[in-house]
Amino acid sequence: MAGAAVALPDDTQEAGPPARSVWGQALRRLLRKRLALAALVLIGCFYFVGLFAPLLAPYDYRDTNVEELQFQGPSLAHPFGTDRIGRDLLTHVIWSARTTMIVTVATVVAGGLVLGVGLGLLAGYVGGKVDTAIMRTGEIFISLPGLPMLILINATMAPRAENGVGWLESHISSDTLQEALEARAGPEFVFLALLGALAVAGVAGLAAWLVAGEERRRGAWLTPFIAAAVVVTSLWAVQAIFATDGAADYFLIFGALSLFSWAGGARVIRSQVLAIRETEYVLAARAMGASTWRIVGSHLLPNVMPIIIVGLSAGLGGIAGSEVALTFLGVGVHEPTPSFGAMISRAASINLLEDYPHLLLAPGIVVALLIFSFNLLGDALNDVLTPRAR
Amino acid sequence: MQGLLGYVVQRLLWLPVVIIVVSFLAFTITRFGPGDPISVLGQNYRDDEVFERVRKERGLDKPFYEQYYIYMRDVLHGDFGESVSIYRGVEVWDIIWPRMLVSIQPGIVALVIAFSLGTAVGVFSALRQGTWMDPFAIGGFLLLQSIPVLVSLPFLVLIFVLKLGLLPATGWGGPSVDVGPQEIALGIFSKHIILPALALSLPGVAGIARLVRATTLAVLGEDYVRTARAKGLPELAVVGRHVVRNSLLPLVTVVGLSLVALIEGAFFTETILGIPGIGELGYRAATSRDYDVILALVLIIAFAFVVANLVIDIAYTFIDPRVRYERGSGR
Repeated sequence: MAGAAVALPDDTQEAGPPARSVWGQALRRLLRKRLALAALVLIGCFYFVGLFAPLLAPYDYRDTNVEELQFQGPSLAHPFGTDRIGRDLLTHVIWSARTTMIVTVATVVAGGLVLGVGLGLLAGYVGGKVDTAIMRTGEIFISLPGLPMLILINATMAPRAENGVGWLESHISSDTLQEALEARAGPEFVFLALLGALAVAGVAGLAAWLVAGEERRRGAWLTPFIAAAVVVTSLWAVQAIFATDGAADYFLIFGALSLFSWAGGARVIRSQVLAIRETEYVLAARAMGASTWRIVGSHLLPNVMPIIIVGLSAGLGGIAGSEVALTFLGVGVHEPTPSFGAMISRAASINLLEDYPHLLLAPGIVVALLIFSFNLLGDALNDVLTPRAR
Repeated sequence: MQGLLGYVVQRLLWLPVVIIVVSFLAFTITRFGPGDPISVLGQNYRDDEVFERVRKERGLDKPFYEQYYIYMRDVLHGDFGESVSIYRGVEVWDIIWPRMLVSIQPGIVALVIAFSLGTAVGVFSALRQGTWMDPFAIGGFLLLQSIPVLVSLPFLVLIFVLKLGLLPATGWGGPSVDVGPQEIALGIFSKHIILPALALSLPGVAGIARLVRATTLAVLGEDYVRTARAKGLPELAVVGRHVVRNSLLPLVTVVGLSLVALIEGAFFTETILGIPGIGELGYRAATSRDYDVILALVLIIAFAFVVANLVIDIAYTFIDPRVRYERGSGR
């Protein structure tokens, strides 16, 4: 993302003797903030643990042993101790990191990038009735208290999401797809054939893009091919998520969170786009006959990018907190899928807290540190990328 | 004042639109969620014929939009339906409003703590700008801001209740008053208020402190502060009379955000400590599928929130005449 070519206005390049890109300067400023770097490393470790949870976890998170391992304190075999039914807490922390990882990434992509950035660009660039409709809808979502709405949605919709995901799972799981491939018939085979065609188109598009010279690389005709590649990759990722425990919960949580997290970002991006749209270099580009795609892609997007990054990073802590909060209230991820919210909720009852405080320590400290790191990073990026705000 | 009047009218007209959209969305979600209220009400009893009859009696067989119309008409008359699982057959409104009186108590105390502590920390760091104390004070509260209530509160309970024994073990108590449907306890006059008020207020301090710090720094550079210093006023008088009074104006805008934090935090303080307020009710309603109770809670909270924001926005234009709203300027 940082490698995107930034169209610098000429005067900035003349300003400092060694001409550096905007991103290079930002990176340099970020590297000077030691606390933010520590936060970044911590977040990186957290996501690494989440990504490789199946390999890193010492035990299976479903393993129970009530007789021998109930409420054990920290030991070498179980560094964080065990819980009421003898499950290893370290394993649960590791798998909970995966849950938080999936929800934050999915919400940032769906709510922040697709809905927030997409609708913000659309509203700002198209304007008129589209702008009014998007902004009014956003205003309604902003003027609502999020948590009660999220509780309502998750509490009432959970079984429906379960059904929907179950249906999808039975239709696009790798087993059924394999059967369809062998039988060469049925709707699944058609789906698979379409997917294959998309994949071929995506690869062909990518190859064409690489072969094409510098001149034509930005051509709009490539967009469908790149889009196809993106669709195929995300379908593959979705299929992988379906296969994991609690997929329905993930979808419900990030769907509901996305619904309530796009409006603020869209508003900021829209106002920025409105300002950039009227600048001379956009006017010049349009006068030279640049297409809409080119103006959006090479003039608007790079200039809005700092704001997008600042906005997304500022929202991360809140998203992670919401996932933990919803699960804590019993309307998020359900058993047996591990989540910090469920761990804390089990540990927080006063009887257990008195005798077994170690149940609370591990998940509590990890959640607090993670959200603190997200907030520190968000602050630092805000300082670094929007220098005027200082 | 023409522009301001137009702005107020515009915002007032926008209010019912938001309320209708929200209520429609919330109603749709509840009604299209699985397990209709009658089967929840029936608990283990299963008799389709009886269920069908009760459904007809309560108008649940009518078309969806008609149900919505009837529900909203009843709501406008103060009838939010009845509970189907937590307190079977009790009017939702009678359940909710005594609990609101309970939830408000820690909320008010937390608001007072957050704003006084936040202002003090903010002014302090602004006056100490450039020394180590400035980032230290704000950074400390930034850490507190990052700890969700559901994490900090169990730790507070562990320390103050279980280890030190300073505060009463969980629960709610205090002098009780009769408010109609039931008696409620005034925890505000007892030690029970301390833990929830602390847990609710600490996350908000950092935000308020940073805002106050920024505005105080801006005000410190103003000409009238230099004049006050130049005419030999003692520093305390300069800060108290000229700086603080002017740097507190923008705080009005964050009251709305604080209200959201308080309402959301109540779900956790009340669940963990067992305080009989609306947060605990919402938690139990969600887990026991008492849909009309959740629906009523969402509507009441959304309404209170929208009205509060409207009042704050309009009040701010009167408090700070520099703020001018133009017609049709986005918000």
